[in-house]
Amino acid sequence: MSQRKKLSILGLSMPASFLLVICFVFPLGYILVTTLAEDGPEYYIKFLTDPFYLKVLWRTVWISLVCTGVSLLFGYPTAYFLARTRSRMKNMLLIVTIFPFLVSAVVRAYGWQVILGKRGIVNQFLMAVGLVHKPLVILNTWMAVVIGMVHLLIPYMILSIAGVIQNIDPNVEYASYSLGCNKRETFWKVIFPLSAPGIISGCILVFTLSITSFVTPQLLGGAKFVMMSQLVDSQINTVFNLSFAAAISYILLFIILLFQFLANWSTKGIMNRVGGGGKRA
Amino acid sequence: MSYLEIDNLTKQFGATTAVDHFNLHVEQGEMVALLGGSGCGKTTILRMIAGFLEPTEGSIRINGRTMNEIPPYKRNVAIFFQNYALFPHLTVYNNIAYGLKQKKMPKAEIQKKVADFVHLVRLEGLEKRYPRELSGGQQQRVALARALVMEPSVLLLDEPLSNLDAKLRIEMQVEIRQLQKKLNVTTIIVTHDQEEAVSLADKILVMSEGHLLQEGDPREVFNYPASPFLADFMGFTNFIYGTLQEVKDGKYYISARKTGEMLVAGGNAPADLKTGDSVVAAIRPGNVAGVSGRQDDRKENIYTGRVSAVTYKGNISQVDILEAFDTPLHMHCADYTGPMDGGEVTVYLPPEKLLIYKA
Repeated sequence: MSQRKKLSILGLSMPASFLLVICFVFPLGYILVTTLAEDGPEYYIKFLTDPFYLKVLWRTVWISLVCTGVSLLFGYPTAYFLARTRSRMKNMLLIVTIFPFLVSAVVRAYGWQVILGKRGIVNQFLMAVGLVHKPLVILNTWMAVVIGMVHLLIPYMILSIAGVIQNIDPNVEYASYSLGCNKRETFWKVIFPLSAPGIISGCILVFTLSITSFVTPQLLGGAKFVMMSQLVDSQINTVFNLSFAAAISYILLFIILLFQFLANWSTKGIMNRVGGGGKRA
Repeated sequence: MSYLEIDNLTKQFGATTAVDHFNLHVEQGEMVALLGGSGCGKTTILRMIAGFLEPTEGSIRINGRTMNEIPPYKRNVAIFFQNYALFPHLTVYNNIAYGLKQKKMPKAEIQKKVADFVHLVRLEGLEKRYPRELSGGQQQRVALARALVMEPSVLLLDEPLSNLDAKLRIEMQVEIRQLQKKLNVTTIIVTHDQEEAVSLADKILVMSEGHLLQEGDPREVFNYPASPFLADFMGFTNFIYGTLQEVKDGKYYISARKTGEMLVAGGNAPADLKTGDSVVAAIRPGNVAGVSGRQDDRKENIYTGRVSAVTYKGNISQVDILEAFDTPLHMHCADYTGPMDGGEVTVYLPPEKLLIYKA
């Protein structure tokens, strides 16, 4: 890349960078410095040595991983369909996919409370068909949190993957057929690896949004199912220990960065080959 | 029985008929070109032979076996795409080995075959590269090797040279032709470029709007197009309208429309032509010759017009001439030194180069 091109890219990213530095990096650094100056690493040690807090951290991580996995499992086929359909309804279907964004997370969580509750339609249906005799406890368990969260976040997964699949040359699929692979083999050998960039960005998005979510676990997980964001909230609003809240936030931030790094690092090879942009001979 | 037999092949998309009762028989090892503009149905035929599209009607047989119900991955028909469609996530080696691995061929055998074809298309040393690290010509050769290594019963080439620059095109034309002959693979090439078709194929089929217009060996199709439409497509861009006055000694005497100039034509003419018929004569711009007046002793087919434009095209110049006939006349000269815009120019139209059609 020429020096001039580099400079122009730098210039174009200035407004966004400026905003991020002023509103994000600076306050973040400021809080880190002031809390560390005031209390030292005390609260970090407290968090990392207390089994209760570690359990919350572990729970937050695995719930987020489950949400990411489920979103991928359900989102991928939808994304493939959206990307490859020739239907005139395509734009309609895309709008339907992002429709849930129009309803706030709070409203949706209350909706799930009604549906998943003891007398909710899920239990009513299961009892009516005779699958269960007494209502299942779904609400205030991890299941309710996963259901609520997947519902909230799956559009991110679908749109990330569909965008990438749409750009895969259909002739590549045809080439695979003519070389002796049926649809299933072609999917695993060609489409799936080529959609890796979409899968990775979708997973990073969903994972990050799950691990930092607050409203959904609060309303669907109940008091016993606490996740990291709720811990931060209670330290600020109930215990009034801002330093500890800051320490928890930093640990969460570190975990997110760690997972992003792992995701990028482990998929570097495939991304270099199929990722957009880059140089051509 | 021919090796590849296509009978009454028809494809309808909704109400539109993309291919209309198309017939084609190809012998083993023959190379046939489907030539036509975009939307003429040539690519649809190719996709039906490959099995990507199902025919609405008609049959495709390869080596006596009907292919209609057989999915593409069981046909052993290889296709080469205009944009190559290489697998971007696989190396050159793995691109070429893709189909062989699918066949569950032993590894040593795959290595040997891939090496053979890498050598054949001159890609030695690039086996570990990824497609995006290759030039257009190299990518094209990978695609060719990937198709040929399968020893396909039929090879389909979809506009194989249209993405290359002029120099590389000529090179690849020769290369494709040599490979095809060497491997004796039955090949169908789809193209909109008449020169490509003429230089590559043993037989040419010219198509338009789903119909076959003319079928024949390259020289015949190139030199004697069957209709004014085909003549235009084959580069006979000069059309002179008139009335047939007389036929004498295999020569046709035509009085040109409006100007009344007498035109003598000796090229191909329909057998049932009668005196008094309205006709159109066609000639390639390259066959129109400039004449420097006095020294010429030819008596017929000398016309004078006014130069309206001279366009320099690198290897040739195109001279547009008005007023010789009621339609403009184009002349191609290697190095044109005659009068420029507005000047008078005299041209000679060789009778044997003038084809006659009913108008």
